[in-house]
Amino acid sequence: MHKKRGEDHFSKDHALKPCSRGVGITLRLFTLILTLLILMVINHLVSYRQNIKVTTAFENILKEIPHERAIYEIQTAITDYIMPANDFLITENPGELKTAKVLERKVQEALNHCYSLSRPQELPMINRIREDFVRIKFLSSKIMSSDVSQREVAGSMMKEMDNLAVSTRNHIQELVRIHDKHMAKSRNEAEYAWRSANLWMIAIFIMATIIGLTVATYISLSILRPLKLLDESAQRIADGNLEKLLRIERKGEISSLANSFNQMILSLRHQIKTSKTILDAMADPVFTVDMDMNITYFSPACERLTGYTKAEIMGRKCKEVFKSDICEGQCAIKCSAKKGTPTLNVEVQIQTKDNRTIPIMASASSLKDERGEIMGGCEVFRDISEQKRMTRELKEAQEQLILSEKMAALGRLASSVSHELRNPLAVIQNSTYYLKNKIDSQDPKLQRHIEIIEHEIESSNKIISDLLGFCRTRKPELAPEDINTVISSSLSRLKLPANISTRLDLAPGLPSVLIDKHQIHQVLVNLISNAEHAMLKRGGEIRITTRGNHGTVEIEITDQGYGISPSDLEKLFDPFFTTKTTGIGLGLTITKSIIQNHQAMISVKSVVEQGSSFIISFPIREAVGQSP
Amino acid sequence: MKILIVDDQSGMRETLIDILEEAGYEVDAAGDGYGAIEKADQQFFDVILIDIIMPGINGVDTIKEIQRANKRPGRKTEFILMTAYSAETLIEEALSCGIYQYINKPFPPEQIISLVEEIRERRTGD
Repeated sequence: MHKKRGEDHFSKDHALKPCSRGVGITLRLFTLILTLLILMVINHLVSYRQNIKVTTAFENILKEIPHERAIYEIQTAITDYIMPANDFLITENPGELKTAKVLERKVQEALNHCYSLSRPQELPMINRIREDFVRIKFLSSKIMSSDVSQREVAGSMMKEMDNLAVSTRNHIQELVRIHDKHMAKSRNEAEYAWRSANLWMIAIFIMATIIGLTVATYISLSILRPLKLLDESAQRIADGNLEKLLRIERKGEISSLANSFNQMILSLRHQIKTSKTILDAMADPVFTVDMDMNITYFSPACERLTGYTKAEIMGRKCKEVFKSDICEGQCAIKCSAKKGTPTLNVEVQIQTKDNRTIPIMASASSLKDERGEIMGGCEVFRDISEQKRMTRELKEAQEQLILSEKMAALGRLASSVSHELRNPLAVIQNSTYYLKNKIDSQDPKLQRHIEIIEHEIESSNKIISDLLGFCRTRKPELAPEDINTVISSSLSRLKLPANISTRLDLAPGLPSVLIDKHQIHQVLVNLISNAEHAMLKRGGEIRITTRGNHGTVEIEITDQGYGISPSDLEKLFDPFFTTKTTGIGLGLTITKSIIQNHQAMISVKSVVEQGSSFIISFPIREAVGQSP
Repeated sequence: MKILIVDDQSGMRETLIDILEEAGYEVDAAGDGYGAIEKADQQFFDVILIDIIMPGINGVDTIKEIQRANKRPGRKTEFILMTAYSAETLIEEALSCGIYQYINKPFPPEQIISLVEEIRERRTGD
């Protein structure tokens, strides 16, 4: 159905049916009939003249027939005229004279008739015959008026008359010859006229054919060719190719039709371009499929997200490309394309060309043709990895906030209780002191119990101090400080047991860092106290190192204690987590809180039974000069 | 040498009186700031141990009032501020008034005795 997949959704089925074939046949028939009509008209015009010629020629021939008969009548009449004279000589019947008179009239009539029909050139011959007949008539009358005595004379006259008859016959033959000549001429003329008429007909036929063909060609060129172009153009549009416009230079209806057609192409082009521009410009990826789930459109945003190019995707199966987790199941676009109902906001995972898995939110709908039949599906989706990340971060932040609020509430409670406990503790301490001085020192058990009270007061005080420290994580008051000085100052206030030594490995000339020195002092005291606690039994060395490292100043505090197990490392900074028998597990929580408030980092590495190492990295802020 | 103890907690007052009297000092006590001001007005105290948070008038204001009222030439009362709270602003204010020391509750009573001893020695030296 889609000849050029993805380029369009135009179907050949819906293209204009070519109509020029029917028109072509009609036009050709029309041309043929026109040609025949032209042929008939010209034939009629030309043959009229030719017919006149032929008719004239035949009329001439027909005219010669009575003429010939008239000539022969003369001969017959003259021959008949001689007969009575001859008979008279034999029979001497006077009736013959009468017969001769009748025959003489016949001869005269024949001569006159022939004369009237003759051509001028025949007239002398007829006159000669007439003259001969005058002599014959004279001789005949002489013969029939003579008597027997004059027989001999009559005989010679008869002889002369016969001679004259022969002469007349010769003249007549001459006439016949002349007549035959004319007759032949007329026949030739008729024949020529007839042939010429035939030739004209052939010529007209050829001419008409040529004219007909010319007219047909003209019609073909002026009507059929533009129609054929229109048909081809319609076919191209049906195939979705809108690149070519029609070029018809002729004026008239066809040109107007072509212009309308071009307008239609331009309008379609504009519409398709607009739709395509909108689709291409969409920030969210869009693609379409046909009923076989072959991709027919793949938007630039799709290309960017998946890493595939349009060229390598077109016509491929949707599931081969996206490799989604639901391709075989509840695929959104498949559901929409099969059922015709939209599928909204389905969260799925797809794979990119470089095999990354991306979570997407997809919505699909069916594509319908103009008859309302489903021809495929269209899916628009959105990369929700960023959204998911943000949701996760938000959740974490919320959890952190809830934890902070809980801690703050706990802190307020702890602070209030701690303060209130300090007063009675102080009184207990005073009383213990008084009792210690007053009680009989001879009883060692009494002394021991007083020591226990003093020790527990100290422990209680430590718990209160830790709790208060935890509650007092105020905003640091930052000032540029030399970290080495802060470390030395903190160390000078600590009193370490004899079996634990310290080694300072402080890099000289480190840049100043922006810190609250009281808080950092608290941090250092915390970490060093922890180190001390870890080495209390076995003894060892606490090494404190400072160094500059990629825009940071680092403090590393390493002990040689019993180390921290990996499971404990995870919970190390959690509030109230402790491995010690004393303290409530807030030291490192407070430490981390202070460090975070300084925009600094704290990390720990530890090997069980070998020791732990805490590293604090302070960022070197700009506009902070070198330490003096 | 006369010491005045100012604390709203009777236990604290009583124990401190006993400890300091045992150490050989003449000790008086007041339950709030007003009582302290009144007592300091009636007689001179070398050392006043004063709690910072008390009902009515707080320790710092009491110190200020006593300092303002008792302008005896040549004799100066030293103040030791006792605090159970992290009342940093008040502590700073007290420090600016020229107090001798501040100590956090609970404190070892030896610390109080040594501080008072320190003041006494200084006075004797003078």
